[in-house]
Amino acid sequence: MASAGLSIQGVSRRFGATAALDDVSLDVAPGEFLALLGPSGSGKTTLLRTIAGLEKPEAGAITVDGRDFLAMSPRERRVGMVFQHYALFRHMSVADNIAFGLKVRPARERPPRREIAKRVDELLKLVQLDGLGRRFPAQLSGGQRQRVALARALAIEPRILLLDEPFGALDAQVRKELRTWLRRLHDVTGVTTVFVTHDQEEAMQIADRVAVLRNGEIEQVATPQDLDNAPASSFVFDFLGDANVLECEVAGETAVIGDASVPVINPAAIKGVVPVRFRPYETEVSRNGQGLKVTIASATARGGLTRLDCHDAAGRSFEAEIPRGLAVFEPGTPAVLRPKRAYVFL
Amino acid sequence: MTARVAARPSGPGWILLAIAVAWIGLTILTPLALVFSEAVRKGWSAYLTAIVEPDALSAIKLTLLVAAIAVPLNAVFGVAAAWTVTKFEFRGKALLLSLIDLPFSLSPVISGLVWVLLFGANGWFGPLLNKWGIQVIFNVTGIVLATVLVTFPFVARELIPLMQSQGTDEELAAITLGAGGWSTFWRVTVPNIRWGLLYGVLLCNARAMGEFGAVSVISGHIRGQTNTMPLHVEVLYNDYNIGAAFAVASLLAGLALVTLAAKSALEWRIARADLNAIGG
Repeated sequence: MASAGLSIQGVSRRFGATAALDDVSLDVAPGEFLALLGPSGSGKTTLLRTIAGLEKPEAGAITVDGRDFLAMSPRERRVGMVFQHYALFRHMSVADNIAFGLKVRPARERPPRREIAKRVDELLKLVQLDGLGRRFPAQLSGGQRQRVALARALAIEPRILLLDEPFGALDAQVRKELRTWLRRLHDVTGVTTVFVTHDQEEAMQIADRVAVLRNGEIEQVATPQDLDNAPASSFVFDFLGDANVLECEVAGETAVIGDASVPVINPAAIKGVVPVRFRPYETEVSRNGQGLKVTIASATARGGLTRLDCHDAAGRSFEAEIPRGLAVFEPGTPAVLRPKRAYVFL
Repeated sequence: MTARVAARPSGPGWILLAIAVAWIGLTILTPLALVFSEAVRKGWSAYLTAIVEPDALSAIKLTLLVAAIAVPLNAVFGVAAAWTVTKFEFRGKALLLSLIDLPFSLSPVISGLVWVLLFGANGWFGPLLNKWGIQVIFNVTGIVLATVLVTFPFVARELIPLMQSQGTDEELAAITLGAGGWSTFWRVTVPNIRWGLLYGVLLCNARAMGEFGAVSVISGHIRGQTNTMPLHVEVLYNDYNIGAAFAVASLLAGLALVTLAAKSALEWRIARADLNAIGG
């Protein structure tokens, strides 16, 4: 399938007094798998629906391979859309669902009946549902339904595939399976894909690049690795994983946490007492050493990790994660936290 | 679906059950049985004569005609209203919803009277229409108008909760797949609401054929011309022609029974469709 590039320039959309999208610009390369990541209300779904033509922006431009998308009706745009709650046609069989986009074409563009049937069979194979064409959506599991929805969207040979929290209604186990499966499917089809999710783990695992949204604005667009290594703001840092925050003295490339000097990962020309962040899983814990003196409140083992909840003399709470079995910290005993690196955002 | 666990009636339960059965028997079953027994008391030939008598036949025809016009109109209006209310967000939606319900809370007499006030000889538009030679009340047009007003909520009320629960995702999916508005409506929306629509049409029809108050005000009671079946029953009754009155009434009662049976069949069908949609 030919892939199309998507370009979004300065798109804004308001609902009443709140800006759902505020001057959003974003480029998606042909064949790219891009995730829109953000909490609910951040505008990610609105952006997706705007690309599909289900919402009209007040300002901005959207082009696909140079075509002005905003001048086209949703049906002309030929985007494949997959909804969180599947939105399968409940009164149609699986095969009829998949064939729908081909059957509703005007007579002169509609493929012959036999060709439609062949295409449906191919798509059923592609989404690993061969033989289930005669079933009805109600007779399928959630994961199967979403695969039908995907096949239905792919049937129209979409310029772009838009997925709106496609795994949001599924249980954790199925989610994980479908996640890796979707990524493999994308590698096969190569269709430019925009994927909306509020699950950072999901976004980081399958996307080529992740755009983090907040209050209708894009905070950062980067590969998962860059996002993890160099978050652009405290919001991105906090959204991508657990975070500890405390006010402490920063001078250039080091922060003084307790009585330890910790390297600052994104040094800025700051001096003075500012909020400093560090990750629980980038923290060393010892009984006595240099760092932040805390008291262990609780220790919970899960998988290969032990999670420690602690607080310092001033009552501030911190978390740390250490490999299980490395050392045993009893609740109520003193310990010292020493972050391996710290992050400072202005 | 949660399993419904119902206990068998205990001592006080039996008493309540007995009261309920007795009450239903007294207020519903007895009158219904009475209608049919009175209708054929003078024999089947008398029954048949009462029905094929010209005034009765005219009333039956008029009733069928009025229902045949009013019910399709309200089916279309009802679908349009339900579609508007459930698929779009707009100012004044709550007001529109209350307006749809208005005929339920309005006395049918008023539903008839408003048309007389509008189109009667001394009404707002009456003189103007008279000048053009258009007569609205005391004829089929007036009866249809009154019936449409009285039966307006049935289809809309049946469809609104159904369409609300179904949401708009399927329609949006159809549009992104390249379907136009018309195609989306016929291929996606209508199949999804067909049973609810049929159910609403059925109730609408029963009421349209049985309506008395509104039609009584506007029809003018012209025998053989503007009398519907309920009005004809009243006329016969006032003429002390009890047997014939009950004969025609038995047709209306029969209609009610058929409606009831069809309604139960539909409810069973809808419950099964729901089970299908939930299970699997």
